[in-house]
Amino acid sequence: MTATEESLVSKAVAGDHEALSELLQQHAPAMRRKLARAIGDAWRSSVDAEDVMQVTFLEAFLRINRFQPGGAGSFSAWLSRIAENNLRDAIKWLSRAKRPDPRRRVGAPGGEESYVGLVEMLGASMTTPSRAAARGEALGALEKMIAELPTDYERVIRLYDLEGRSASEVAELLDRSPGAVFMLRARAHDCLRELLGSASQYFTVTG
Amino acid sequence: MTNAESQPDDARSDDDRDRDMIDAAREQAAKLSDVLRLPSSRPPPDALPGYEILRELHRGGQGVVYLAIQKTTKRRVALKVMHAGEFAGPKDRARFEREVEILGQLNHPNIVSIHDCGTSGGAYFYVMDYITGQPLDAHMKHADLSVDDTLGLFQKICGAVNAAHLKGVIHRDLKPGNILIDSDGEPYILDFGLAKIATGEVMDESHPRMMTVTGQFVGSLPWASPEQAEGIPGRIDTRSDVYSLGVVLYQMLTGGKFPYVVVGNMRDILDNILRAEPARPSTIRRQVDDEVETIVLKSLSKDRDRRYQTAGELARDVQHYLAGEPIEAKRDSGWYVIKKTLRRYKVATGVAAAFLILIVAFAITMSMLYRRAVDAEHDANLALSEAQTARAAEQTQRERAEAHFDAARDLAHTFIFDFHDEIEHLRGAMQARELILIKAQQYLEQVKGEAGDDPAFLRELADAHEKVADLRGGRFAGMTGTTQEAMAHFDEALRIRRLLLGLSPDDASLHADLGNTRFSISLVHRRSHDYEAARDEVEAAIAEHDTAIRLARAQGLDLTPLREDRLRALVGVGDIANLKAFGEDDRGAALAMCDEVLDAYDAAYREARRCADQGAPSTTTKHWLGVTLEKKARALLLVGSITLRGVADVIDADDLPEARARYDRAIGHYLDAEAFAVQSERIAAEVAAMEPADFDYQRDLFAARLQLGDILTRIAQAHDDLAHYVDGGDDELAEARDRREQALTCLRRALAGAERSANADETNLRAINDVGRCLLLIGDVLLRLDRLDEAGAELERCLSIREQIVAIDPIPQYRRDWAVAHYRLGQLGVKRGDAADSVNVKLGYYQTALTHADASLTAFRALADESSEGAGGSTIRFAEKLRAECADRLAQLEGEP
Repeated sequence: MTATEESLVSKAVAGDHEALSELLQQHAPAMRRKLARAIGDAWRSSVDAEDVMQVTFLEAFLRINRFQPGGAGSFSAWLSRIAENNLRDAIKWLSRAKRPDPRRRVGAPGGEESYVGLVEMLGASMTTPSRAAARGEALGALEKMIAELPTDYERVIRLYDLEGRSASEVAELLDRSPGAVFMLRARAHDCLRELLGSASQYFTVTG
Repeated sequence: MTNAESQPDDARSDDDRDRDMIDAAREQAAKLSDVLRLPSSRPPPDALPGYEILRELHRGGQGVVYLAIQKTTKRRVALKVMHAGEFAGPKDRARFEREVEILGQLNHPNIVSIHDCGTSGGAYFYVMDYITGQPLDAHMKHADLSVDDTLGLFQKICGAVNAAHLKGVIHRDLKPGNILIDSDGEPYILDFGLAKIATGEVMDESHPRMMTVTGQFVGSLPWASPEQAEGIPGRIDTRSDVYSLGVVLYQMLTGGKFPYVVVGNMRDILDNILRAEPARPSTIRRQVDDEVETIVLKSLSKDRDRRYQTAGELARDVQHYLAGEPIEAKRDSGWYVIKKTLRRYKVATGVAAAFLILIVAFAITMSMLYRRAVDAEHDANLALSEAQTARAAEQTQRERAEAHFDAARDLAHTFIFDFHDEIEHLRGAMQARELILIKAQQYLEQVKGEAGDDPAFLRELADAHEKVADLRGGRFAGMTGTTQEAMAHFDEALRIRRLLLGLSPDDASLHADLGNTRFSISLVHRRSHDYEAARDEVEAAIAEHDTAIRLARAQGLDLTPLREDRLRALVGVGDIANLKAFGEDDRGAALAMCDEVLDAYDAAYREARRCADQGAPSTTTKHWLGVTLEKKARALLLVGSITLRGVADVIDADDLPEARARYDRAIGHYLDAEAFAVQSERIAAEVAAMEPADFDYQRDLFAARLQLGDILTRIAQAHDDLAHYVDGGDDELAEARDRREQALTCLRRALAGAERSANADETNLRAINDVGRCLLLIGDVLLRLDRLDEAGAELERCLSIREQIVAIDPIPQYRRDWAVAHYRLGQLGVKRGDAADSVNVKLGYYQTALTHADASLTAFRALADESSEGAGGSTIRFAEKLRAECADRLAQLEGEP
């Protein structure tokens, strides 16, 4: 790690977003090349390296405070890991999308059902009880959380999960590749889970 | 996709785009961190009195944990502050206060202890030891412990939990995240926040200390015990913690795996906690030996009573293992495994069934043991007595032993044969049925030759053979046994019955028994499509019943049951003729046979009428009247359908007058059938109303309605055909529509009845199957009414029901039904595709149809392969035809631009 990079990293971890921007700018070309290679011919038509990069940058900002610098190359490795995860999500869902998951539709588009379905889909590792959600009391909270998500995340959740549009439709509306839709969705779900609370929290089963 | 090097004219460079993306990300992140209240973006709360906050450690569901310095002592402490604002309702605060109170009572080296608590600016906080360490899961990931070391660590955790248990405190939320491991590898249990004081007595739901009012569940789902998942707070006790510890141990041993799937839909997770058997840890990590696995599985027992009762007991068994001593937990016995297998089928009565099977097994074993004991005692006595020792004593002893034997025999007999009937339609009882059958055969084998000349025992033995034969060759033929095996048992039953008749030739009931046995044999022949043999047996049966009735009349006995047996045989004659006519390919010959069918059913009907008129009015006689009317309707339905056989050729040959004549005749038969069916439905309704709790009578009503629906559908179809192919006009179409609407009403009524039965007893697989049958017919009618979406919904529901049934009880009949549902959905898909406008939509429908056609074809073929009689050819042909239709349409579409 060069002296400049080392100091940039420690500033970034301390919360200096300017420093992190600088770091990301430095690592972007390498990331672009790596992603292009990893995407390969098989997925070229449905995954765009820049989509993956964009989400990776966002995550870098969100997670930098948890990054533990470990000497030369550790920032680059950390960033690569995030990018790889994102790409994996995009491709995983794309291959799955070939056989659509019946549970993907979370309920009547737009209705209260769809929110409940979304909460259920977010799984057990969340605080807010689905049935409490079903009672409607948590729906407002969920709606608020969705509204507070980064724009791309919010739009994917609304279009795909709540309005029940197809991935390709959503991709078109967002002007992104279909792979990006799945990746954005995975990250959006992560965010929502985090907003809803961690696994250590209690929740009500019935009430 | 986008690559600047290959697209030099791209207006903006990669660098520019990178910068834009990074700026956008930064902006969004700022917004989101605010929402998430991430540590870096939000200062710790205002200084709490007496403490200096250093940094945030952890953010959990109930609050945020900070590292702080206690100003007076300069000690580093962990400070937990309740979430304020929207997350902190009065409930949260109460929970917090309770947590503090409980923690204060606990004092154990492996439990994080509490020092202080208070409020500041409306936020509650408490102060505990600051442990530098990592959560158990993270620790396990890095530590790479051997099985023994893992158990050593786990034992300490159990010891700490046990200390709390001894103070009456249940943790209720044990999981790796709540267990910290310090740098020396010492565990510390955190977050007794959810614990509640166990009173050691039945919980009083209104107790002020109870936060958990009925129906509320507090804990983390993946580690929750079945009783927690069920949400019954009163049932949560120390054993719930034992379960969670079991999950923790499971994870420690398997690198973090859960015993069952705990991701996905909450309902599924709850279901897994309640019912899924844990995957054996040894299959994940080979080093886990049998005993360790036993300890884990015992902790994870769904049944609280089968777990370790306290964390201390669990710790002790782990200690035993580590010390090389035998563990206390025992592998489940064979019987328990059977019991568990049964339970897996979520039968409400499943536990009762499993319990009864245990008794059956016990009874059988006892009876065999007694028999052996009798023999041994007998032999011993013989040896001892040597003629001069007390003969009387031996006699007494023998009598006593035989009395024991008889008692045991009765018990075994009752359970084997009566119990089987009880569970026959119980869902998921396949293994139980098979088990009972095997046991019954062993029993018969055992007592063979020992009946001597005791008529009562002989008769029972004959009954038993007949029962086994019935089961082997009957409803479950092809699944649990072969016709030959059944016949061997029938022969034995016949032999014994004839032997008995030789002893008392004037006993009416013995003649009736013989008649019933022969009738049962006729059923087996019928199923093997040997109608001649079936006919011979049923006629022999009628002759026996005639003799029985003659004798009984002379002896002044009650004729009712005997006449009922005879009636059943008379109906049997019609049934056999019906099947024969149905299977006859030649139209003329088939029509001739139909006369025989009609005559036989008519004879049965007249006999039923006589019984009803002569005897006292009873449900049974009424029932038989309804049955025979229904049979007559069925026969006329057959006549009508045979009349229409080959009519397509007549139409093709342009002989429209002949076609018209045939349709008119067929419709005439159908209308006659309708009249009988309406009568039989009325009677069935009366009977069902007389005996509302009797499933069989409710089912008769269901069957009558189904039959009527079927007849109405056929009438409609005939009118439809007339309109389309012969010379009918709009009135034919209108008539067809009206009849279909009638059929729909009738079928929906049948459906409602079937659903009621199925809901009343959700273990009744036959009732559930009936629901599926109705849905199929309803879907079919809707299909023909061109209400394709509605048809789709009903058929999908039908398929899903049948899928469930097959999963529970894969007998050939149910699998066939399932395949038929696929077939119908395939037909629907074709129709929908034909009706669609856009090529893409068509493509979708045809592809779906093809999938269904394939599924049905595969299933039909598999069934034909298994069938000993090579049946099922026509179903395969139908499915093949449907598949070809789908494939053709798809190929056509591909051909189009």
